[in-house]
Amino acid sequence: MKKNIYLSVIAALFAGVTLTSCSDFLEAENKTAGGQTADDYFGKDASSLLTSAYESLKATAYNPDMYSRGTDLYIHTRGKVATVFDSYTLTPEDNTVRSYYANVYKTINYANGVISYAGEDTAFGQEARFLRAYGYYLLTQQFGSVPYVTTYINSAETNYPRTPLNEIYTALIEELTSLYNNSSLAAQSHTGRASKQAVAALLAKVYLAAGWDIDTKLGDAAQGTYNVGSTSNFTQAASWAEKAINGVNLSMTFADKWSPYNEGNAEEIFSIQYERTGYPGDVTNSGHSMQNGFGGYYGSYDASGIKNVGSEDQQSQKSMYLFEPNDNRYEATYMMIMYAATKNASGKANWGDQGYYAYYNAKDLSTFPITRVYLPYYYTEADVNKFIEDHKHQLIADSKYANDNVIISLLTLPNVTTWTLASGSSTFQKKTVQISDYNNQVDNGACVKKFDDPNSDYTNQSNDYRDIVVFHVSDMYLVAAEAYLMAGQTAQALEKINAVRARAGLSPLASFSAYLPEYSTSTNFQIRDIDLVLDERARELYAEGHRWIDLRRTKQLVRYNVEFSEYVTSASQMANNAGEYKWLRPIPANEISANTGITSADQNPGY
Amino acid sequence: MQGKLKTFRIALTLILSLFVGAVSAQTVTGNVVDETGEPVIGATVMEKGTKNAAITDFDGNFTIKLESGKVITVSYIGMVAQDVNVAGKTSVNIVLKEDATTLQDVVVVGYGTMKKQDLTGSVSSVNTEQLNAKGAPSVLGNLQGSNPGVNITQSSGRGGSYNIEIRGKSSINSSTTPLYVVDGVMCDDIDWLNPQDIDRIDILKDASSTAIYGSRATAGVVMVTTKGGTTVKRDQQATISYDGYYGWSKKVRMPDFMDGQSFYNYRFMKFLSYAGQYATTPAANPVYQISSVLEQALLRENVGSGNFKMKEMLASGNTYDWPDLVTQNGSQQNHYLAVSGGSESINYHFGVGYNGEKGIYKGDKQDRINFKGSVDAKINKVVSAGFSVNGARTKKEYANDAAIQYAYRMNPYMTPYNAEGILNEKPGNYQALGTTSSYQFSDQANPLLVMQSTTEQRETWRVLGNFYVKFDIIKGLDFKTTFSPSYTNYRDGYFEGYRNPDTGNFYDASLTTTGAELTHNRGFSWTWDNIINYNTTIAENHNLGVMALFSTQASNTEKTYWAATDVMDNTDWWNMGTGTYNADDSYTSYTENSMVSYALRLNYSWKSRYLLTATVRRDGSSKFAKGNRWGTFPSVALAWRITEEPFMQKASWLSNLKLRLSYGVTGNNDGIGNFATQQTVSGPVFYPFGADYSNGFYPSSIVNKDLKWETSTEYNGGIDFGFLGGRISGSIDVYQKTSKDLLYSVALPLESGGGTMTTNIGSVRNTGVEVALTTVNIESKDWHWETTFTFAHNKNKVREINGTGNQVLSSGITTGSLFIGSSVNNTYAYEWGGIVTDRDMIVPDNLAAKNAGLIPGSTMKEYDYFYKVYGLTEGQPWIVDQNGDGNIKSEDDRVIQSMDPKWTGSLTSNLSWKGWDFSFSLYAKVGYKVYSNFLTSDILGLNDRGRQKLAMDWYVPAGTIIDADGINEDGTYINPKYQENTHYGNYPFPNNGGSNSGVGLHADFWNIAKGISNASFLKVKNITLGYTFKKNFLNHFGCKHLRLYFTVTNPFVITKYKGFDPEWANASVKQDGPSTINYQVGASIKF
Repeated sequence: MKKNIYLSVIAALFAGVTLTSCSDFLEAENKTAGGQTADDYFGKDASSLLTSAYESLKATAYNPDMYSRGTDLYIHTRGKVATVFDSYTLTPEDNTVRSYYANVYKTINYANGVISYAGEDTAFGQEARFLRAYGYYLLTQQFGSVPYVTTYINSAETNYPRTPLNEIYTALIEELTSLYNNSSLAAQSHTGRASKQAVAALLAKVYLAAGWDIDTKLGDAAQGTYNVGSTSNFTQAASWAEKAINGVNLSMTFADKWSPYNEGNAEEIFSIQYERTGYPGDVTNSGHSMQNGFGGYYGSYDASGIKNVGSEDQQSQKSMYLFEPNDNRYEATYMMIMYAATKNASGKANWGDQGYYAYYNAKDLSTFPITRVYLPYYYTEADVNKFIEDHKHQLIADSKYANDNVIISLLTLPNVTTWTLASGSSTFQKKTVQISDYNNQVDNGACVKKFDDPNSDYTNQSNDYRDIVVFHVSDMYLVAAEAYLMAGQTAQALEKINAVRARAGLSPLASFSAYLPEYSTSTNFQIRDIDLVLDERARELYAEGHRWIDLRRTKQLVRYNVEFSEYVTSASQMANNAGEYKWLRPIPANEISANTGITSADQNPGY
Repeated sequence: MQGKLKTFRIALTLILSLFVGAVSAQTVTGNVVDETGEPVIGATVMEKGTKNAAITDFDGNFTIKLESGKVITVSYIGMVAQDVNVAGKTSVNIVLKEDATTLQDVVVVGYGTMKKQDLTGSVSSVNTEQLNAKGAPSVLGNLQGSNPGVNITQSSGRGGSYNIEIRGKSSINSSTTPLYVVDGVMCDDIDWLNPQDIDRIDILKDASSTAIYGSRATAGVVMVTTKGGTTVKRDQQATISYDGYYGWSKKVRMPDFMDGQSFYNYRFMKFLSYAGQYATTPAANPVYQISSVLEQALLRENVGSGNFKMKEMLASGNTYDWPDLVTQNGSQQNHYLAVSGGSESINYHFGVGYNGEKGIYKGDKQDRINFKGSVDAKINKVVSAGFSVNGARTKKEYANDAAIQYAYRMNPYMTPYNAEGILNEKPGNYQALGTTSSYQFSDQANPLLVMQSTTEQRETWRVLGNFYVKFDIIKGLDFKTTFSPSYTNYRDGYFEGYRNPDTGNFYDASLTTTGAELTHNRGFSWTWDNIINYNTTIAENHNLGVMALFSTQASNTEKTYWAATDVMDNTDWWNMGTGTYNADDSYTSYTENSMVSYALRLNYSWKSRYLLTATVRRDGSSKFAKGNRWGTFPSVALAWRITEEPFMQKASWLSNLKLRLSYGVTGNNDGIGNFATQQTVSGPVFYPFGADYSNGFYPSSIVNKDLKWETSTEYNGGIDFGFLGGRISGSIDVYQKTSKDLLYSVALPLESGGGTMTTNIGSVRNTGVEVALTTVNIESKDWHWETTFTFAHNKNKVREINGTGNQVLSSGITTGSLFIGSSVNNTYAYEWGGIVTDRDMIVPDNLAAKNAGLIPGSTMKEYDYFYKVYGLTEGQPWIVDQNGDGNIKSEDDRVIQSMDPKWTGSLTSNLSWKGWDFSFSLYAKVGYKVYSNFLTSDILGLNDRGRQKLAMDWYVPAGTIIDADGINEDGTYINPKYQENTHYGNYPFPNNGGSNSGVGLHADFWNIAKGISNASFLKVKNITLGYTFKKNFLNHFGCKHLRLYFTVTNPFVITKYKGFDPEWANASVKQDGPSTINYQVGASIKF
């Protein structure tokens, strides 16, 4: 009897368990997702995905490896060695290239997501279409032909073959023209949104690139020679650049244009947005670090009172002589005078309205103590002595300051002359140093100030919250100049260049051939018309991240590197054994292995 | 005292006598001793077939009045029970033999136990003595080298965590951690148990043994039986036992870091540049000079004047051994106290343990308390019930990681203290060194200060329990239902920003504010097993056993992470409200999964000669989408006990011979997350349009809705043998395990934004052989010498990678990439050919040489050849140009090398003489390559000239200036010293002349290649000397057993590896660290 009871209990247990268990029991609840899939969420509202698409631009906004290195303008000092980008020893496995490729495609895929969820003719969809086109512009300039994908990738599909470059340009032109003519985008935006003005600027750049890449044939790579075929793309480029300029004159001074207090000014067309105030996360390291690039090394900020700069992308010898005397862009590009900082109780530099940022934050600079001065090549010794005389009340070497001495450097070649006022001393000691030795020491050379954020607390981190300007008006003047020149309209080209030079305080050039640069060149390097365009771009857009793209587009990459780069000694260094030049970045190895549509045979030449 | 003891003994004897039954006619007295002649106290003497019993006293004497029988049964725990015919006798002397086979006899298998002789699969076992002989503070450390095919590696020099791999890596993505089953409860970790609480560990290796655990069992199953439960016999008198040791550990076998002199030489050379014409026109063997940078190199007090600080410090011996400053002598202790006992209807076991460790790095520390209890009760003839609970609280404190890393970067000249004995904030900067600000090493913060800047702590609670009710329904048929909850909770706390009371500044000068982080992670899971067992014998010779299981399981985890900055000083993570809440980093999360399983097992044997085991299990998992949830995992195994055959009975030299064959399928879903088939929303990111921030969300990575079970099919053949009455015994197993549909996270085309997606990707095969051999070399009254030898070889091979060609490159490429035909664990790296020397060589016949215009077969200087073909100069490292095309690049010059050992083996030897015992064990892992983070780090780098280095034997070209006391006005050197003859070192010539800081054009490749190292090793794991006191001596103290011992662990290691310890050669830099020798004294006591 008892046994029967047990048996029934067991049988009931077993049956009950078996019946209730299976299907429901195996449904796990994803509480963190609130039961929603990504499709559910973005299908209702794609605006937050659009925000992510904009935000993803930050990852590619500042990339000195891919934008600045391997060119004529920048070098590394104080033991910082050449990167694979400088020496053209890049391989397909390089992580910087891989991340860049993936990050641009991330913007594109988010944009495609917005377009697929919201529809391409909605306000969100139109902004996304601009971002997508911008992404493809960036990719084509670095990699040439890439897979042109306009559908949202949300599955395990792995077959994305490369689309021929001319087809991408054609598609971008069609897309952008349609956006300009038939969209509800705002005419312009100074708060980082896509606008018709930005569309025009991008279209000008695409036409210009198409003119060079599709219609212009390379002659001799090392000589930088080429033959122009059809000029129609160049003509279109000039006309769209004029639309982007939109009648804006270069009336603002160059210094005002780059003032940290003048963000979103009239010359800005499209920019990537940063904002210190109101950042919801950890503000100390969520900005960018453009202000920490492009200069020498001045000690750590808390020991010297000068912002941290990493000895990377400093002035090359060409850059030292790039600006003509009286070009007001030099002073607006480089920090020529660095101010002193007193020390706090623990011996560290006081910060903010003293030291480096005193330039922006101090009430009266005329009496503020100076610790470092960097003067360009066109200053004479007499000018230096006059500077010392004019500023003698500010040139104080005292142990109460973080830097207890004062150093004035006259940045000339082959030797740099320094005047040092040692602590407690009243007379400057003059010394001449070879440029290579000068570059190897602390306090070497000027640094770029265009991206300075005077509110930075800790300049050893990503604490720069200046917007990064992607397109602006004077760039468009020079795009127009280049396009006019290539289209054979030399007079219009010169007019645009002279407009840029006029704002810089320079007299107009009568002709392209009237241009004589101050930097020295080897005997077999003859200055040509395109060099003026490139030099003007170098001066106007210094450190903005255009240089590598400009040199590649204009087919001057090999010629300029061989002539000016410290890291490239011969044209063959930029080619593989088969003699193929590395005009483009390698398709990343991971991409070749993951994308069944691209094989090693599709790799760019030279790798 | 003596009197008291006597009283106690009399009382005890009286109490014991209460158990004696009724009086009858014949009275027998006797004495029970063990084989050594020691009296056995508390042995049960029972009249056979009755309840009439007596118990021996302290001298082993007993008196029993027999009722009617003539046979008495004498039994004692751990000894073979003996029937003695006492017909006509009034006194007997009985010698009980130790039951050496008890532990080996029964093996714990999935959902039950089995006699070892009836096993059909491959199972290896370790008992508590074998386990604890090694003296490691953790269970896995003790298990290392005990079982062939079970590859256990210490994965870190800090905290001693272990990796375990049974029969090779059968999966790509998931860890190789096997399924742990602690007293029948599935568990993902056993290192929290106190080793002394473990009674035995059985490792199920082949698929026929593991398939009963189906989807959880691909990586093998480790069955842990803790003390108590089945190990406590009914009617056992209460026993109190104590096991424990205290040990000291010393850091040993440190890598050979540079001393003052070598660093001086290194630094001088690192400032050499090309001289004269070579400055503008490089050459194959340029001449080097030291320019005015000499002052910077040797740290002159002032520019142009003063002493050279490095010379001064070297001469006075004022250099520092930084690793020594951040380390200390460690200690370890382990204590375990247990009480157990039982009566006819109930038995119990309670234990409490403590484990404490002080690490080698100042600040590394661990404390663990274990508690345990189990009760089993027989309620009536049908129903029995019981529970067991095993819990632990572990508290770990961690030294500041960054400080440790900094300490290894500090060169011998960096000065920790100033003249007043106060720690320098920046030991390598000009203030600490007393030079002008232009001449210094670096602004690196002082590790000794940084070390005091943080607190990091983890407190973990684990409780594992099981509650069961069992019904013995009819003879042979029972039903057991078990509910097993498991609870894990850990709390991580981190605080940075302690201040130096001397200065009021942060210890870590790089900090600008305090910060705290707090993590709570709570996991709960339960399993409910319902098992029906039926055993019967049909027609005498057919034994049949059936087991049916229905099981459900669910688990969930919730996590909270909170971060704040600027919290109040010295409050650790206990007052975060005083700071600024960091919303961006803080988060909460929840995740859950569930599983339903059915299983059936059939055991059949005929006359114990032919054995068959067949199992099938069906698992459904919530991790997969509907339609792919269920997997079926069958197995079958056969065994033939040849020695049971009648025709073998005459072969008395052969005591045991058994052949085993098995086949089985297991599954795995470990490599994926709980919601791996759902794409959800991630974020937020923040973006301002103008001044106002918007939140951005984005889709989580792309998912594969078709994910399904990963499965492994394994064939195993084995032979168990015993010769000469068991003097030689052992087993040999061969296996082949093929795993397919592996869950692997593959890189998506970068067009999708560059994520990864888990997919069922391919196939891996493990093939191997395992041998275990035990020989009893000497067996006599006083002597016993036994040696156990194990050997295992496993070959791991990727067979198929679905649809993506013959390779998948990981994002790091060098490790983690997959290639068909190679091991899952491999390195894909450049091969370092050597150093470009001034010796002659024969020009190879390849494209590169021809392109350079050289004649293959001709003789030329190495430096001329390498300069012409590769642009390298004398003293630079060169990389093997695998295809001879003259370009070292991407894939064609990388080679694949396996990181699996060719074989592993161990040797354990136990020698005893009377009360003394001596044992040692060796463990070897051979043919073993690693990609060492240590060797790829700056410690073996030539890019910088301020950080500490390994003492490399580097190449120096003849004629190179290697020292000078200064430079005259006219540019000549003061007291220069030159390298007279070429020094042919194994490492590159440090200089600053050529590209990449003098390392040359192959620098980037060399930085990878130099990290590949042979890490084969032979370790003496332990040497132990113990003494067990005689029982009759101990009896005076009321003590049953006392053994004292001394153990040395890891005393010797033979290896070529140049880093810390070959075992954790691929640990991350922060987890790397010194190996240690531990000296332990311990005791084992039973009352």
